This record gives sequence, C-alpha cells and structure tokens, in this order.
Amino acid sequence: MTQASQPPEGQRSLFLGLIGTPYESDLLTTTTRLAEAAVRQGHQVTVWTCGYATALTASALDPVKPRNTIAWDTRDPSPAALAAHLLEWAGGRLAWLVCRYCAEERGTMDQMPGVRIRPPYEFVQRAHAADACLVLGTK
Amino acid sequence: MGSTLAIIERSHRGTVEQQYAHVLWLAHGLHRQSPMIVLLRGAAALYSLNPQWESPLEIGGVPWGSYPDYRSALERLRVDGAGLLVAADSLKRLGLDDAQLLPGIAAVDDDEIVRVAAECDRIWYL
Repeated sequence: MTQASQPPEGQRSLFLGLIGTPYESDLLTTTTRLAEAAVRQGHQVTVWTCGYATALTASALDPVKPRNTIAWDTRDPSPAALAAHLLEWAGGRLAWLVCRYCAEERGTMDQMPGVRIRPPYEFVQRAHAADACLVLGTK
Repeated sequence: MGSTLAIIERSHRGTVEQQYAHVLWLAHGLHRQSPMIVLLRGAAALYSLNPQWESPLEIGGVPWGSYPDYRSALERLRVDGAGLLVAADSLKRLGLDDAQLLPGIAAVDDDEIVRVAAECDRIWYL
C-alpha cells in the first residue's frame, strides 16, 4: 500500500467529530472521505467517534463483512478494516479516537490496534485546538 | 401466504458500512421467503430512477469495497415477481415526476397506496 505523501508547508489540523450512528446515514462515508482528502493535502486529521460510532473499530470485528448470500465468493471489507486501512495509509497523520464514556456505555472498550480511547472532556479541547473542526451528528 | 407491503422511505444509509447489504438487498432476501410489494417513498424514491453505475469509492489510494447497487437489487426483485411501486407524490416533491423509472416500477398516487396496503396482510417499514 502506498502511504500518503509527505506533509507540505502550511500543514493544518482538522478535527472530525463523528457522532451520528453508523448504518443510518452516510456520515461515516463523508467523514472518511473528508479525512482522506485532508491527509492527501498534507494536513493532520483527528477522527473522534461518539455513540455507536465507537463500535466501528471494536476489536471483535472481522476485517470482512459477513458473506453475501448471492455472491458467496466475494468478500467485502468491513468498516473496521476501513479505519485500519486509513490509519496505515495516513502514516501518522490520522488519529482515530474513541470517546471513553460512549465506549463504556456501549461495551466497546476493546478497540482495534491504532485506535485510542480518550476521556470525554478531550472532545471540546481537541475540537477547539484544531485549525478547523466539523462535527457530523444527527438532526 | 399473503403479501407484505415493505415501505422504504430512507435512502443512503451508510455507503461504506452497508456496501452490498442495503435495504433493497434485504427486501429481496425477504421476498424469496415470503411475497413482498416494495413501495419507495421519500428520499428512497430516488432508487426508482436509473442512476449511473457507481464504481467503488477510492479511499486511501484503493477502490474500497463495493458501491451499493440498488438498481440490480430492484431488477432481482422484479425478475422474482415482487411488486415495485414508487410514490408519485415523493417523485413530485423531488422534482422528478417526469423522470424515467426503472423497468417494472410503477408510480402510484396516495389512493392507490391505500388500496394496495388494504390488500396486504402485513405492512412493514424497512
């Protein structure tokens, strides 16, 4: 896998808060595409997941989705594999953080390698510290 | 065994999460066990159109998984005899009342929806 290129001058930080529930909308798709584009442009990205988005990177998940009953030999990657792929591809310019409060409440404290659990108060701290912040929630 | 009216109103429920396992894939799986009539309403009325095929998203330098193929799922439903309806009012609200629908999908007004619902044994929101 080719890693993202070296950061250019003028690197900025982007905080993406993913609060919306996965499998309900395209918020995760939007988040990953924004993160990927920002990393590709040389910026530093933090993805912070809350609620059931914390389950996307639970260590119990397989890297592939369950088999498709009408395409048995095809294996599609899971969202957990997507997070792992992005973390590796970004080469240190992407952090994937999980809210401890949400993870405790939803039983998702066991997270895959590379994903870090952080205390909930850091959400605002990190959001304010970033050059740009976008929170993708529900409405 | 009577029919089930499956009403689908919400669309685009997670491209990278669902991939092949979207609501129309589910509806087809259910139809193979018990006859379904699928009614597309709201934003899901978009599924009744003929979208350009989307290849997988490229994320992190590689094509990622598979893009949800709603069109093929509707075709499987049609071939296997499921009823396929789209709410005319939803198409109108989306400014698509003149749009060409996929084969086998009928646009129906509210009176027709009520008539179909009354003939079904079950009504499910998927």
